[in-house]
Amino acid sequence: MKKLTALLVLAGLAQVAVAAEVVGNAQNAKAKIEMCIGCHGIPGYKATFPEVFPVPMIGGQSAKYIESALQAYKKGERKHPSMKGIASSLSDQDIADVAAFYAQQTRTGEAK
Amino acid sequence: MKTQQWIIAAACLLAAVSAQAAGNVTAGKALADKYACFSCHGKDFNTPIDPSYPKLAGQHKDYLAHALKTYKRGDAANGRSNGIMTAQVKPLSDQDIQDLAAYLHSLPGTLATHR
Repeated sequence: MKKLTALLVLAGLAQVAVAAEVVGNAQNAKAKIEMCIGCHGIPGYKATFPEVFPVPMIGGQSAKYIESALQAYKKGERKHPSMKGIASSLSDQDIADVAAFYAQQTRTGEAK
Repeated sequence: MKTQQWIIAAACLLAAVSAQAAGNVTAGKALADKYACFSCHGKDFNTPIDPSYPKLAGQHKDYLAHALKTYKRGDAANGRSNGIMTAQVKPLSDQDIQDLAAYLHSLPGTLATHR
């Protein structure tokens, strides 16, 4: 019986953990995207190392992809030095908010 | 006469180099089919099968080439390690990468650059 109770408590905790998953809020991203727009908000902006390439269009990517890319920079699975620095400065909530913000952009629409 | 020959040779070399840098859309499509890129990134390369995978259609060509090269570098400096993509890029030559990037860039997409 004790074991059963313990199991139920554990199951309950797991439920809470799932419910507490970070949810992005595009409105809250406004104060967090200054670091992004200096490169990703400028059409034609190029990074120069180690290849010369225009920085990717991120408007309209899905929030989950933007989150996973930022998390990969943060964890060091992606090793771009400037993106690692920026991603490391963001909390999980910041990352979710920024991802939600860029996911809602469309090719023709203005940034909201 | 000698000077003229040198100029022609230089022009040919330049044309060859720029042709390589441009990438070939038709060759890129054949490679994308061969390596089944669509099976994750979606038939139109704009509807990936999982939201954690990127849309590729219309993305900047040189960024796509850069991204493929980062997976080739893997755990080294300026690389990316990813279980799936690390394996996918292994057989690709530099020319393959340019061709794939040219093809994916040529597709109609919905990605945008806004402030």
